[in-house]
Amino acid sequence: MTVDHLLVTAFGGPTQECCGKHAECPGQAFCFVNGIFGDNPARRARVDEVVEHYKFFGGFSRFNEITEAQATAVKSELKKRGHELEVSVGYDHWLPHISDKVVELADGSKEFVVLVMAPHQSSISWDAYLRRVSEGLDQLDESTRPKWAGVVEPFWNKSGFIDALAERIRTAAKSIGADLTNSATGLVLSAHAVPMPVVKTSKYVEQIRETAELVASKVGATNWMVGYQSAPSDSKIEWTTPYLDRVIEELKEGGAQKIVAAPIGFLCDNVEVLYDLGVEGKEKADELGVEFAAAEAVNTHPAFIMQLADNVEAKLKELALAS
Amino acid sequence: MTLTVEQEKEARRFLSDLRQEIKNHAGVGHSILGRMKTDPRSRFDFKVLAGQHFPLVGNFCAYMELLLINAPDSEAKCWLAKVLVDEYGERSDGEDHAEHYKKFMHAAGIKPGEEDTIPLHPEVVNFIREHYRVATEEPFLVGLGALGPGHEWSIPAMFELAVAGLRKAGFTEEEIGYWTLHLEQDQDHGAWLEEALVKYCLVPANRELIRKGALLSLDARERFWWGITDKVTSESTKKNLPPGVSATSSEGQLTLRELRAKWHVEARLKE
Repeated sequence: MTVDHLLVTAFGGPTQECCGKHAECPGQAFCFVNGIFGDNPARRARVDEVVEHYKFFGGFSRFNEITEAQATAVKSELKKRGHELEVSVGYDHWLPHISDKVVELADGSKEFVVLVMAPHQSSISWDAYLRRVSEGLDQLDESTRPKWAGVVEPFWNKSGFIDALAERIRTAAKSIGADLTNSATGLVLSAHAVPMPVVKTSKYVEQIRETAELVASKVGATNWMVGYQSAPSDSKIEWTTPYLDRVIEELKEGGAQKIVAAPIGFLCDNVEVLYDLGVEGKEKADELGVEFAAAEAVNTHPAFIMQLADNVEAKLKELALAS
Repeated sequence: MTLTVEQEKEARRFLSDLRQEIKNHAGVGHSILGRMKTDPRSRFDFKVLAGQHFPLVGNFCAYMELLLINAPDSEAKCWLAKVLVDEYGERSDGEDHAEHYKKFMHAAGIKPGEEDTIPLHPEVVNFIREHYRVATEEPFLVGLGALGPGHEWSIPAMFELAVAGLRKAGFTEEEIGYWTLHLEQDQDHGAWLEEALVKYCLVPANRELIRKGALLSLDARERFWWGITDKVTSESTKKNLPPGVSATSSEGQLTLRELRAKWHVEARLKE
């Protein structure tokens, strides 16, 4: 048996589809955010706060649309290289769920590899998506269970990912006439904040740092900082810092007149990128009188797609050799 | 001490506000609890959770006993003693709570004798360490805030959600007796506590100490739940996958047995 299926796993975002969890639909954005925090009155205020970010963009996210475009592009690139794989996409927090996609493979003949759409690894992203794969397998009996052949290697320090980020940053810098090699331009390299208890068991922070160093070097930036965003406002514990707003302040205090911000910890322009970085980041820069441009996420950048295809291909070769 | 109507009203207003603050704390409202109702839950999830939660259950009496020694008056001692009597097992057929908890652990799949051999997430260890520190090094009212409101007013809300997940995972009522017992007992403890606390809440400085203790405990609790999330997610990933695929490592994590060998808790005269 050889690998015939690539399962792409990602966080997900609300689409027009109904999740079916409520008798009367409270809106997809509410269902999505409430699904992340769980059904708990203690977090209702935070849920409502985040839902407003989605409403700012019409109540939906382009997350799934972009992820599916990435998956299609990877499939096409793999086909060019002689690998005919069926590709499906499943999400941790929206439809179609990762576990349902695993169950769909249950005709007893499938062998699949998993591509985790998270550039940096921690239990609450990387492992969380893989856990959903496990849940899907647990729903099947031995005779119909597809074979989970392996997981594609992560790519936080791979050249295609770094090149794609660098090009997005150069485009954003150009839009405000910023010279990245001049210390009067500050570069913020942004990733999702993670609670410190989770950081303790993974290399998340080190991986972010490595991506940031590689990207900064690639674009020749001299004045750059990593900034963490989107930590829940009601959490009382330490998350990874410095936060994005503080980084913008520090760069300004250090003499930056223009700031370019790039979402190196995200793979598509989801609402956190567009709102927390694009809207709130810009508001902060405006308040300080600094010109600001947010770079697009890697999305379907050709260099990024090639990198994903390289990583999938490497896994297929490794498995073929092992067998 | 006789309280004036105004004094009592002010104290009860503070306690009511504190209850609300605790109810809305992110430690009580952690997503792992909220998602007990919405996500699939398996016995394996609770096997992992139980291995991490057991050390808290097994150390709670010791914090209370240390606090009891420092209690300034008999009323405070009485409240602490009443809770301790329950913890020792008076309403649990003679089994103390740690023994009662072991039954749940075995139902979840942990073998008898292995309860204290599980590597603990650093935040589990930190939770216990923080409560020993608060009970012994902070002023009495901070300790009371942590072990009183910080526990008794938060546990029913947290356990109600946990019980929903336990039932979804297929545990019988007998197997989850430890959890449901606390839903009932901690309502009682919370009510006794409120009465015991009123007299300490007459001046703003005392109120601040009690609030500080409650929040120290709940902040540790929020970290603890993130530790549990980390463990449950990564262990269920490791269950079906070869080594090295998970993003996490449990290298250097100590077991409860190792901690017991390393730690020495004592109450002694200091001059």
